[in-house]
Amino acid sequence: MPSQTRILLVDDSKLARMAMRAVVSDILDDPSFQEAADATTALDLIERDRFDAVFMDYNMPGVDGLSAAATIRARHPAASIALVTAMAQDSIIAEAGRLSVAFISKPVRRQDVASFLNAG
Amino acid sequence: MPPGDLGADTAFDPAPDLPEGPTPPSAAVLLRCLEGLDMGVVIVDARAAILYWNHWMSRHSGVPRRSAVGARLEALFPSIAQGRLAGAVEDAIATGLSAYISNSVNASLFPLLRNDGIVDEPVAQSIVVRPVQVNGATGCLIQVFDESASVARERKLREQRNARYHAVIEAAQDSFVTIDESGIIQWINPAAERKFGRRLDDLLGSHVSLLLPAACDASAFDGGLTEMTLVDVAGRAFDAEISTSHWTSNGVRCHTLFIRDVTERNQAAEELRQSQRMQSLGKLVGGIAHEFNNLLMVIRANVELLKSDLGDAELRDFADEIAQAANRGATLTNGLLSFARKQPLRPETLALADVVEQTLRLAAPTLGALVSCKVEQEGGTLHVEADRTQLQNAILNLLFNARDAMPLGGSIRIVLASDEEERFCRIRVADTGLGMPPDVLERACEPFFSTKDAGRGTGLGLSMVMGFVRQSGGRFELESEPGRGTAATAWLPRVRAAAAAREGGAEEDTPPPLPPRRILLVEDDPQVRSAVQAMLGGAGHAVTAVEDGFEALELLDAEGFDLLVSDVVLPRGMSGALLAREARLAFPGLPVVLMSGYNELDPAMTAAITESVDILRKPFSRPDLERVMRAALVAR
Amino acid sequence: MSEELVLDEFETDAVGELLNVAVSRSAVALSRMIGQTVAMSVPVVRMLPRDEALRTIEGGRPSSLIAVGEQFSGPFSGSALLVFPELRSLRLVQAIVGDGMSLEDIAELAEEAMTEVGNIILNSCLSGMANMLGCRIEATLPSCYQGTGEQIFRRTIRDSHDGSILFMSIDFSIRNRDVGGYIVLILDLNAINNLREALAGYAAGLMEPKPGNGNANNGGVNAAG
Repeated sequence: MPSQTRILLVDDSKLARMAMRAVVSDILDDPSFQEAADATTALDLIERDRFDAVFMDYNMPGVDGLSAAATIRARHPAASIALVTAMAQDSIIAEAGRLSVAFISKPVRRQDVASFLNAG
Repeated sequence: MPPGDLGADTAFDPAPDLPEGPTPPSAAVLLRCLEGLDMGVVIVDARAAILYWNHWMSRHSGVPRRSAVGARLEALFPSIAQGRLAGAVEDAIATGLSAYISNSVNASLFPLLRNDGIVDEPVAQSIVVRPVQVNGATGCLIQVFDESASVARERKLREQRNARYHAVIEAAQDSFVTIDESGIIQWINPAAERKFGRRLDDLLGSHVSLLLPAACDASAFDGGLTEMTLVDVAGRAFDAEISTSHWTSNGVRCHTLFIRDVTERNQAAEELRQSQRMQSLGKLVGGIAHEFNNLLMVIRANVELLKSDLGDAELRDFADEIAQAANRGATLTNGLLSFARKQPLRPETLALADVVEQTLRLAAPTLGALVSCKVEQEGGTLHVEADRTQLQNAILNLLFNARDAMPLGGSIRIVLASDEEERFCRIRVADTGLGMPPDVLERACEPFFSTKDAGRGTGLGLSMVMGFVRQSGGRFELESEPGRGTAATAWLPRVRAAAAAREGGAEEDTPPPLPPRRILLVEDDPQVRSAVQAMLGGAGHAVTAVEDGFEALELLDAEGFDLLVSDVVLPRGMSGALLAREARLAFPGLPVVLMSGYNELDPAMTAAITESVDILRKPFSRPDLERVMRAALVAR
Repeated sequence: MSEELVLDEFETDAVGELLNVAVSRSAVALSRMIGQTVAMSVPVVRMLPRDEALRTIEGGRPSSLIAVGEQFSGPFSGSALLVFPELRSLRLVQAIVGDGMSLEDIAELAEEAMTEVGNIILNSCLSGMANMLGCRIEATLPSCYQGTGEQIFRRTIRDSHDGSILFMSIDFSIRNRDVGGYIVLILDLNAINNLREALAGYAAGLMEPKPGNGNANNGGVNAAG
C-alpha cells in the first residue's frame, strides 16, 4: 500500500484490541490505529476520519457490532468492515454477508485477517 | 498394528494407579480383558489417529480392527465431524480436558448397530473422552457405554407410568393445565386442547394468561377454588371453576389447574334463584290480590244492591261509575296475577275476529293518530278456546308494544289465520318499528325485562303474554331485526266451527232466573259475606251464612241445602277446597261453588275436585254468580 | 484479604474477553449440536469472596440449584462450576431437547443433559484460558450437583480454600428463551497469582515490537487472538 493504512479497532475489550493490533501490525507495514470501546464512539470517529479498514467486535454493551456495521455501511457504501466475533452463528454470518461485512472468528487467526486486508 | 503391540508399549499408562498386589496382571491379561469388555474402548494418539480399537467396537461398528487402526475417526465416520466427539477428542489431546457425551442430548455418535443376530437396532450410547499418555505424548481414551438397555427400560417405565396417568387424564372431561411457578404452561390434557382449540405443542412454553387472561402467575391459584370467565375455542365466554393442586418435581413447584365449565350449573342455579324470586313475588302478589279482590267484591256487590234500590237515574249513574271503577280494579288485579301465572283461566269459545275488534276499539285512543292498524283474516271465521279477558289483555299488550316501537308512527298489521292442520289459530301482530337487536330479542320475554324508560313499562308485558299463551296450550314467538320491525305471533288452540256454533248459540239465550234455592254461604270476611248474602237474597234464595268450614259441615249435617257456596280461603285450617271435598264425601251430589280471589287452590287439591266444583272469580257480579250457580246445579 | 485477590482493570478485561470468546464458542458448539440458534455471553467478571459469591448465587433466598463442576489442574488449579437455578436448568434442558417432551420426562434427562451442557461450557472456558496462556490445563469429568448454594459450595470448595473466586454471570439464549446462570472459577491462591502472571506475560508479548515479518510472538496471538 502506498500510504499508511488507517485501521479502526472497535472492541469493548482492551485485550482484544491489543491482540488485533498485534496481528495487524504483523501483516502490514506501519499501520496507524484508532481504537473505540463501543459502537457509538466508533461511529463518531468514522464521521471525523477516513479509515481503510474497520474491525468490529459483535458482542458489546449498548449497540452491537452488527447494527453498527449496518450504520457504517449505509453511510459509507465502500468501507471495508470486518465483524470479529466468536459467535459464529449461521444467522449472524448470514446477516454480515448481506451487509457485505467480512466475518472473522475469534480467536483471531493471522491468515483470516491477512486475507481480509488483502481483499480490502 | 496387531493388538499385542499396545501391551508391549510401556509408554501406555492407562491410569496413574495400577492395581497393587504381589503379582500385577500381565499386559497380555489386561489386553484380553479389554477385548472382552462389554463396552467400546478406543485409544487415539496425539495426531488423533486410532491406536487401539477393541472387539466390541469392531462388532457393533462393522469396522474391523485392521481397517480402524491407523485411521482418523472422522475418516472412518464422517458424521462424527458434525457432533461433539471430534471436538472433545481435540480438547483432550490439546488441553487435557475430559468430556462426557450423553445419548440424551446427542442424537448420533458412533454409528453402531446391535448386530446381535436378532434385531439391527442402533446402539444408544454415551461416551467418555479422557486424555491419556500414549507413547510419551497426550493421546485420548474413548470409552463407549451401551445405554440401550437402560434407555429401553426407562422408556418402558415411562410408558407404564404414563399409561396409567393418561388413562385418567385423557379421559377427563375437565380441562387440566399444568404451569410452573412463573405461569409458563408445561402441559395440557386433550380436554383442554378441545376446549380452548389449542394444541399442546403450540402452547408449551407459553404463558398461562394466553388461556386464562386474568392469571398473572401461579400465585393467582393459591386461594383454593376460584371462578373466572374464560373464552372457549368458539369464542363463547364460559364460567370456569378452577381448583388447583400443587406439586414439586426436581425442585420445581408446579401447579395443575383443573378447569371445569360450570356455565350450565350456574345458569341452572340462576334460573332457580330467578324462579324462587318469582315464586315469592307471586305469593306476595297473590296475597295482595286476594285482599284486594275481597274489597272489590264488597264494593261491587254493594253497588249492585244500591242500584237495584235506586230510582233516581242520576244516582244510578253514580253507582255505575263506582261499579266501573271496581271493574277496572279487577282488571288490574288480574293483570298482576297473570304475570305470576296465577290467574285462574276461564277458557271459553271465542270468535277471534270479534275479540280482536273489541280490543282494537279499547286500544284505539291509546294508540294515537300516528299509528294505523289493519286486521286481515285468512279463511273463514276462527274460534279459539281461551279466557276472554286474558286474550284481550294479551292483544292489548302486543298492540302497546308495537306502538312503543314506533315513536314516529307507523302501521300495525294484525293477521288472523289457521295453521294447516287446523289445530291452532295464529294471531300475528307486526309493526314497522325499530326492531330489536338479537341480544334484546333473546331476553324480551323475560319478566321485568324492559327497554322502556323506568316508569313507562312494567317489563311484564311480553312475559304475561307468553305465560297466558302457554297456559292456554299454545305457543308464542317473537321475530325481530333492527330497522325491520317486530312481529309477535301467538298460536292458540282452535275450536271446530260446529262446536263453536253450538256454544255460541247457547250463550245468546238469556237464561231464565233460577228458582229459589237453599244456599249455605261460607265466608270469613264479614263484609264480603254480607255482600254475597245480600246478592243471593236479592235473587230470592234462602241463604244461611257461616264463617268457617267446621260450622258449615255441622250445618250441612243438621239442615238440608241445595248448594254450598264457599270462599277458597277459610280460617281454622279448613280451606274451601277441603270443605268441598268433605261435604262431597258426606253428601254426594251436593253442588259446590268456590269463590276465589285468585288461584289459591293447591294444585293437587284442585285436580281432585275441579271435576265437580265450579269456581267463581272475585269480584263477581250477580249475573256471574247466577251463571256459575246454574252450571253447578245443572251439572248435578 | 490482601490485594492480590483483586484483579486490576486490565486483568478483569482480559479474563472477560477470554471467557466471552470461550462461551461464544461453546454456544456455537451447542447450536450445532441441537440445530438451534444459541447465544451466550459473559457480561460481568468479578472477584468475590466465598460468602459473597454464595449470596449472589442464591439470589437472596436459598433455592434449589443445579451445578456442574470440574476439577482442573496445571499451572493453576481449582474447580470450575456452572450454576443454574434448578427451575431455569429445566427450561434450558427443555430448550435443548425440544418442546416435544413433557416436563416430567425432561426432569429425568435433566441431570444428564445438564452435565453435558456444563461440560461443553466449562471445557470451552478452560481450553480458552489454556490456549491463550499457552499452557495445559487438565480437567476431570464433569459431576452434577443439586441442592442449595451452600450445599453445593460445601461439596466443591475445600474448607481450607484460601483463594478467591472468579465469579461471572452467564446469559444464555436458546430458542428465544433466556436462561441466566453463573460460572464460578474457584482458584487456589497460587493459581490466581499464576493466572495474573500468565496474563501479564501475554500482554507483554502483545506489546513487544515484532521481530520482522515473522509469526506471532507467542502462541497466544495465534491461538487466542
